[in-house]
Amino acid sequence: MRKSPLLSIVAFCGVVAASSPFAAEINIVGLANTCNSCHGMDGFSAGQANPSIGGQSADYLNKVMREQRSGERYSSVMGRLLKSYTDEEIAALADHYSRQEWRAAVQERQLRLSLRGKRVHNMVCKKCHGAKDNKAKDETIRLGGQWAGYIQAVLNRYVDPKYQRPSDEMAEAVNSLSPEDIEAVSHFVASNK
Amino acid sequence: MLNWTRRDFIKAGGASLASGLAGAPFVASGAARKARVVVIGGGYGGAIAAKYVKRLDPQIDVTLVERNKHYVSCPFSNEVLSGERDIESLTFDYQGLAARDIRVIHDEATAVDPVRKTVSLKNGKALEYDRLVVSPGIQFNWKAIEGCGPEMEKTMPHAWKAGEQTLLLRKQLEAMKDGGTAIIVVPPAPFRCPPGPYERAAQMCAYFKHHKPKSRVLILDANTAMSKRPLFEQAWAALYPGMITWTPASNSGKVLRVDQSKRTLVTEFDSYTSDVINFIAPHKAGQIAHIAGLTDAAGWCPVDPFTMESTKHKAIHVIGDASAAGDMPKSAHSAGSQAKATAAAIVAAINGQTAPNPYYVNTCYSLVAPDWGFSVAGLYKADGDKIAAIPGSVVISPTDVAPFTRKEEAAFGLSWLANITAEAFS
Repeated sequence: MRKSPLLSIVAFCGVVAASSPFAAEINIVGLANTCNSCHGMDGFSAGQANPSIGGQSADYLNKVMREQRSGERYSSVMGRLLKSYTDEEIAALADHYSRQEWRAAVQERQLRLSLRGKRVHNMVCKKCHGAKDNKAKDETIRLGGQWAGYIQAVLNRYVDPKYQRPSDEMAEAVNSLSPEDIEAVSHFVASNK
Repeated sequence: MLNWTRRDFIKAGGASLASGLAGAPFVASGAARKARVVVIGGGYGGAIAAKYVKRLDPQIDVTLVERNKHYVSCPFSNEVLSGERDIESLTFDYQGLAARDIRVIHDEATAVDPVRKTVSLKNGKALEYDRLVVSPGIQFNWKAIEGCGPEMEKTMPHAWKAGEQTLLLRKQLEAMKDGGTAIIVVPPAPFRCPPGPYERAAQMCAYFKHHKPKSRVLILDANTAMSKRPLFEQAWAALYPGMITWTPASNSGKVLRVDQSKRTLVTEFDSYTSDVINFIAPHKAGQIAHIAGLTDAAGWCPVDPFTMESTKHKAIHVIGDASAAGDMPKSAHSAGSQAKATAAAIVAAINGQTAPNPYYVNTCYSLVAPDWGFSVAGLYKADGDKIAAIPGSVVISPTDVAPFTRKEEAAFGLSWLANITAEAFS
């Protein structure tokens, strides 16, 4: 998925994307504004089931949207919407949102849940996601400050083989977790600002 | 600078393109306000239009005219009927918009002069505009059915504008004897919130199931099609088996006449009565759209699909339920999407630029129980003289999914509500 930086520049400059069913030319502000009603102003979500996307890395956003579009990654609504988006539009959106400010969701921290979550995180998640998870980097989600409810829902999907899971590594890692572990670790990483 | 990093390149490109990039904030040209935009109607459409005009160009003077001090969201108001939520959770004020340098006037727009470009208010004053956004929502076309009139609101509440009406319908459901049948009368399309009546049937049953298990819901429908039909029928059968009867127009479900004194609804072959009649009368565009001469013979406002500008009067844009927006359903999300396209078009016009490509999206969640939601989503574009659905893009949730997905979609629905109300009112 290393193509995205180049694609996003092309898209940003308003080059004609002839294959788009949506519009002949990308108007990135208008295109990105359509996301706000579900993902919040500038991608800062006000609801805990919908992830904040402003300030995630472009590579990550690009990868996720492409996987949702192809069905490689389960989604409820996104895959349906993205079916009509071109690679260029997806790359432009990923680029746009990567340049928005990351704002941590305000969530109450529960000490006991957090401690359990930290143990799970150390054992299972830290190896790949790092100790803090609070930077936008590569194709990895920025977890610190994301909504716990969203993280928990995504992890739950990795447990259930009915869902299309884009990463075997994640599926394997999450499979070792109980529902309580999942809740705890979601809570922990979300508050890990 | 040959060794630009990607970020530098984007920054520089962004800066040099900023003036030409439609929709980007415009640079202040002086202390004076450059133009006046007036928005009539503070629902989802009007509130979002006002906010985005200001956001795209802070130098534009924006005034929002809205009768009420508070707005009550229609989306999710069916949960008030089941008792799942209270009306306060759906009530918003305009302080958030006022804090964004938007002038909010709580008054009624009584007339529009499209030549002199003024809006008259009930208080006797007039507002001048360079661009006007009309977002009045719907009103009921009482004359469309024999025996109907606005007085029915008190006895057979529509609850199709949320607030007092919702609470009245809830009160009637509470007063109904167990074993009764509540009737929902569905108007002919196009009407606001196409899946709403069927969601409402489910939410009424959610209340009955716990409090009046012998009670039923009868839907008398002026249409033969049902929005999200496979999903509703699946949910009704699973959650409220035998409790909901849908009688479409093809089966004599269309109400042709009403006898208010006897509380009788007459269809082609049958007549019905009940202690609870949720009478949703046929719709037309809100009154100010008619007064301003923006409507067509069908009672809706034809618009340019690229800018939502009225085809009847220049410099007036009509958005939301009142507009004839082609294939787009009349929903809060549609209204917001149209509002954003309109704001971009208005700001471009004021700054002497061409309107950017509009992007029209609809997303609509229905909750039939707290942990059971599903959706329809679709993309639309300006295509010739209408807003057309992008082929294959309008898709409902699949029916063959695990209960977990339904629960998840219910959660997404709640997050949608949190985000779109923040977008509109904060």
